[in-house]
Amino acid sequence: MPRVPLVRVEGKTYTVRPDLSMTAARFAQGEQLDPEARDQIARDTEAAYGLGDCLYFYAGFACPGFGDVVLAYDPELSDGHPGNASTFDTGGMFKGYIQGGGLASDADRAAHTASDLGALASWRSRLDIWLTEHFRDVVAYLDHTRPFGADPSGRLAHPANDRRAWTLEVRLHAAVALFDHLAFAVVRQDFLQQALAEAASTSALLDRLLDLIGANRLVASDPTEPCELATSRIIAYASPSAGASP
Amino acid sequence: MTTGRVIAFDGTPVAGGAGARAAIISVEGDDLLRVTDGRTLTHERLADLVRDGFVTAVEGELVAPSLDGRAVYRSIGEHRPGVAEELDGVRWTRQEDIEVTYLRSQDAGAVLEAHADGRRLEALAAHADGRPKDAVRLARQGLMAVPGLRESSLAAKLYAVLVAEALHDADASRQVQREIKLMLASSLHEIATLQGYAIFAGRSTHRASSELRDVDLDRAKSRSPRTPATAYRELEV
Repeated sequence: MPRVPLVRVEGKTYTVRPDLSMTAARFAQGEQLDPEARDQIARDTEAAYGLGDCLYFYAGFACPGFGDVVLAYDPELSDGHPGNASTFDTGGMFKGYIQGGGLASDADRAAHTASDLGALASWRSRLDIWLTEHFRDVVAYLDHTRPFGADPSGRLAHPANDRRAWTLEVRLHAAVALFDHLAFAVVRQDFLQQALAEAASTSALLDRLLDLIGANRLVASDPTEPCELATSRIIAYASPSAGASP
Repeated sequence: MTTGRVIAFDGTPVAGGAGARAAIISVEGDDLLRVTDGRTLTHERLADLVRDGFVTAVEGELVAPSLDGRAVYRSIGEHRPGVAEELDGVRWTRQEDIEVTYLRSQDAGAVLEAHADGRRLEALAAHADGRPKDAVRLARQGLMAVPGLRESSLAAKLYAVLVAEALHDADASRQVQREIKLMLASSLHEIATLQGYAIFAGRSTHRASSELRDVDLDRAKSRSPRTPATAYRELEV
């Protein structure tokens, strides 16, 4: 079973709880990831589909639509936490961005989400089955390749859909420490320098960031976009034979 | 060649920083918006992303002569007139506390280099004026923007300011040295360190400071726009 990291993309200002946005200062302080750090679409989705208050990750996908601070965690991050998982982006489903012949109405989408809902504890075994059924291998899942096969909703084959229609969304009902189980983080150069500046007055915080840089676990992507660089590192993490060392 | 109008760029600016970002471009007659990293967006999705703070809307008219460039932003800081970071042909659109332009990727680097070098001169001036916190802040702002940081001699000069301001404190000095070794190519370690010692010892700061004042005044104003690096080199002759 490939080790696919849990990926969370941060960096922008949340409209509901802007104080929980991942600023360079909060990154330097190592502030925990909190389920409260989510926007109104996520809250509406959770209410409509009964998902609970969630801390969101994708299995192996650094989605550029969510920001430019990419946090990739070892899959063991989820161990021991309550939560659930889906084989698509539930916010995109709720908003109607994910299309398919069986997803025409709100009721259709709610029914499909309910039938797809799985327990957090089984997300890795579920991903393994998902890969077997719809992808040549894990690299195909991680590098934007469209899935083969069909599903009752028609979302996998619909030409208007993108990766968010078939990437596992993994949701924790818990806050987690920012740097525990962190496999690597990819940020922009301006963010990294700001974080180093913020940490400079506290020796332990600065040493922690420098430790991560020294271990090649905290990197600036410039001039490459963070999510683009993160994608190659995610592939290398999940399939070491397919790419450079993560 | 397809042209369009830059209506947003990816991400949010870092306070005091500068950088090149993927631009979101509206092409007349197209339903979908083009992102210069290859993605497309609907207008509805863009509105959501702007509302939720995932992208930054560009106010005013910013033409994209091609679809393969980059949006470059820079914070509006306390620039001295003589170190204005202007390059010929680059037009900035101003909004709130940043300026934005759209450039070919290869030109974006030159603009960011000019911005970073301007911050270096400001940092040296702050050091010479006895404002160490400002010197460190300005040097960091330069490091946010300098292209190809690892192999950049300009980055080494910016780190030299951090070296100089840390020399009074053993722990701070150790950490700056550690950061230099992690962030810069080995050939630049010594340059950053020795220049930092020189700044600390006052061998170069007084000169840099007085030169900056020269640049601020008539000499700078009487010439066509040029990069700070060019201005500095002229003064060093």
